Amino acid sequence: MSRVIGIDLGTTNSCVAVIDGGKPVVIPNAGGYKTTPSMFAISQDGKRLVGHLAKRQAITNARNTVFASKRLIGRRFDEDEVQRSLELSPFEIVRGANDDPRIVIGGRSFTCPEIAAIVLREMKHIAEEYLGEPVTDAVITVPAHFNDTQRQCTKDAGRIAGIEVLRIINEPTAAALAYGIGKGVEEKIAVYDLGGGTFDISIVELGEGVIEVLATTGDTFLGGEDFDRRIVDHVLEEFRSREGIDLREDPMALQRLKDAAEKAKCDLSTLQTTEINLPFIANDANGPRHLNATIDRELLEALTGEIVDRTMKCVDRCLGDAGLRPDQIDHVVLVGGQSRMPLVQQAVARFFGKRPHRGVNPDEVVAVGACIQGSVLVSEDRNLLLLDVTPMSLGIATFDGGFAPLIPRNTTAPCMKSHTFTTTRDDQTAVKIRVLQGEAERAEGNHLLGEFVLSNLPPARKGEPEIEVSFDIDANGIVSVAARDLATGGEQSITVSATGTLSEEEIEALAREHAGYDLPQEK
Amino acid sequence: MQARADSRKPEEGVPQLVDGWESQGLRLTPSEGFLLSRIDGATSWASLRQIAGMPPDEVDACLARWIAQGIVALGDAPPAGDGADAAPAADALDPSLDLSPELQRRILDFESRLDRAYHELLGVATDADARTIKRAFFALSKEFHPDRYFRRNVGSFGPRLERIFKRVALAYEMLSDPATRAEVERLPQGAAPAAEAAPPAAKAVPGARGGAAKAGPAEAAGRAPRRAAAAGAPAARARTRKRETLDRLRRHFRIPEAVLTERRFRAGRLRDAAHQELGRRHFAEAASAMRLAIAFDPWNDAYKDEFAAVQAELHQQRATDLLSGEGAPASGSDTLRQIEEALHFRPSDARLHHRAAELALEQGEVERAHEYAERACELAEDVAVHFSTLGRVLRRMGEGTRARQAFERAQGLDPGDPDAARELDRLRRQRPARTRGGGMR
Repeated sequence: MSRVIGIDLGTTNSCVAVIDGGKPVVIPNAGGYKTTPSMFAISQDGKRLVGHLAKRQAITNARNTVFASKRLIGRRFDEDEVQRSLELSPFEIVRGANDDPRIVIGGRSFTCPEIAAIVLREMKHIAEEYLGEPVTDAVITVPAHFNDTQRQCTKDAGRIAGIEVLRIINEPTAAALAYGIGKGVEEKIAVYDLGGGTFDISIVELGEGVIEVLATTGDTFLGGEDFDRRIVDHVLEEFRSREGIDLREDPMALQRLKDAAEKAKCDLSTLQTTEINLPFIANDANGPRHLNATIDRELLEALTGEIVDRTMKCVDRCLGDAGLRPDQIDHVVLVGGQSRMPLVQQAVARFFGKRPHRGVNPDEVVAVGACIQGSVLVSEDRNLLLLDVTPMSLGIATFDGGFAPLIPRNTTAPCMKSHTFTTTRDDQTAVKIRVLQGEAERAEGNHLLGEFVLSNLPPARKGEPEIEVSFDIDANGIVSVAARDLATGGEQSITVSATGTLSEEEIEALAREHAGYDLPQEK
Repeated sequence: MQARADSRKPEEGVPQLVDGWESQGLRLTPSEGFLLSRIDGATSWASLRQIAGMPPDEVDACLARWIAQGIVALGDAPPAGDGADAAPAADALDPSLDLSPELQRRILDFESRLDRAYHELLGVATDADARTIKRAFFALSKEFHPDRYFRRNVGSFGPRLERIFKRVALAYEMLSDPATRAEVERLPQGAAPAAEAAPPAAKAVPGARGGAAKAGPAEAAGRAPRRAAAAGAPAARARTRKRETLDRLRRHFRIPEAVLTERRFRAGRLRDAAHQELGRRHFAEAASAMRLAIAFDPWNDAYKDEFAAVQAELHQQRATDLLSGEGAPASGSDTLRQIEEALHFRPSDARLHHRAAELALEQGEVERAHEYAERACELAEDVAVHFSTLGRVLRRMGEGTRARQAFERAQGLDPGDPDAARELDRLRRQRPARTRGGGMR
């Protein structure tokens, strides 16, 4: 049986790990780096570049280099998140046939699962090179707040990349798994994961070989890049008021500034003050202009303090979901590059009243956790069990536009819940069941997973019929919803979760197409 | 362990009540009464151990005693899978699967009993603490979570494992939240919802069924201003949802009418028995019978009032008996306990307090003895013996001066009080010894 790899498919960087010789090993890429930029580019001469190769030319080829596409995956074009990316991305994002965002580079349009597949394929190659054997199975991580469509799209990406995805698990859960392995003690751990593009918090409990996720939540659009953006906005504004030039119009300048801002931010984790120097950033009738800006830690904290506060609100909510107080947490683990920021560490330490742990490699623990889960699933010696939870509430729309969740978020899966509903009109003969996922109180604020109609209800006064709606999540995360008229036994059901933004045929076709790109790379 | 005990282990049998047992004049503790009320001819010995809320060996001892007394008889275990469900017969086992026959049997057996009460399902006592419940859930998860058998050839056992895990997880969810647990525990547990339980093959999990707060589904024209079930903050919503699950459960655990009638009938017989005992002034037996009647029919408030009345009578009588030395139990600690109970009903009985002080002193419970002795003196200031007892208590506490005052008081009240005279004499002789240092004891 081939080995299962764990892939942390990050917004900015990805990482792959495998159990080798009984221990998790993070696999370095050809360049010796343990993380690989989640970037894809088509060069001027039409070559496809992934990872560091893509990043290296990103500045000079900004229009044809894709990054942070994870923010777009599984979303509809009209969603706020997509619109916000639209503003800041130097590459083109267009509306696809399925109302999904698509990325146009090198004169070709790519779906988001395809871009993810290209990165996944790269990670698979890195593992195969290292192991010297083919790899087919993987566990892939996603942010805790990903909905079913986003998860399904990530699975689809795996299929396009020729990978069988055994499981999709939550990033903070994976981190906890990596942190908790081999510890025979009973304890509660909070994992604060502030990565490049997303923020997640999970509370897990370890004990007797079982890891139970008590609660998990996150913020869709909150991560290290938002910190960068605050710096970029600040510098842009300063430059405009001094020089009268708006650098937003120039994608290349913007990309240079973005990189410099990221570096400045990283510097300020250890230094008190740093500088951004970008010579020849712009040109006008008066000649070339240079950008010089000084940023100190105080300024950075003033610019980004509000973002950190937002993460702490999530932490508070998550603890509430788990029914715990901050002092009941035994350990706090920080994950993700942005958690290196002193302000973040202080905020977390203040909230929990204890110093957070930082693993040696906060960028790698997620992949390590994923490969542990993969190995636990297929190995003979199954001494560890992960009890994962549903990331978001599942339910149906009610007649008045409300949302009635049947399976609340953070319910241990697999699970099955049912609830009885009734009609609102005399002699109503049919009811429409709209299956939704999300936390909004109103139906329209939630994500529609599917709908069906239960018909042939016998005539009855309103409020009399008993219609039992049951939600079932199986071991593979497949959600089925059934509605049954308890009077007649008439029943309708659908399976809702297997819907990404691509159809089955599209996935097949893309898988065949992308398999072709492999050929030149094989030795 | 006699009566019908044969080669078979007792815990494999199903205890049932022998007709006419009600009039036997049993004296049972509340937990024994609860155990007895759970004996319904369907719940096995092993299950009784789990639901009784007392240590398994005590359950065994009680059942053995009742069998010996002829109150309880041991019947045969019903065929596994009871009746309607296909019994996990040997032909359900599939040797081609990656599951040992033992494991297959375990899965089939567990699945056939999924509609047990939550405590029973998790195999924990009703008073188990949160940690024990969590451990039980973790242990069952490690046994039945489908991930344990990922990519194994498990055939028809895959869906069975899922059904088991979902049910176990629901049990854990309900018992791990103190609020829902309290409500679950108020439900008549152990009453097998045979009439309503769907066979495991049916997709609906029993218990998660029935109507609760109703919300009208979409599409329907919103004429009736009915509120959707869910409102408020997510946490509050989750709570509402749990509450609704409980409502459904309550319906689910509705005891079949026949069983309910039977229980009411038995409760009535027990009350009759209690009245007979009352007529004979056997208050202890009457109280015990009434307590049992309540265990069988906890919905009848009249029984509770009657029980309280009998209880009061019992303690009055007990107090009288104890003071007259009649029917005194063998050990001093038992007597003390009974006196203390009686004191609830006769809080200003000086003699009873005095007796309690004496007994407590005998037991070496000096603090309690002091409390009772002082109270006895307060209640009856003219009884010499109350003060001499107080004096002895104080001496034991090392309060020499106050002890002497008490003895002097006793002697003042009754110069012939032998205790006071002797003790005062002893104290007088002790004093020089103590001033010389060293002390006598």
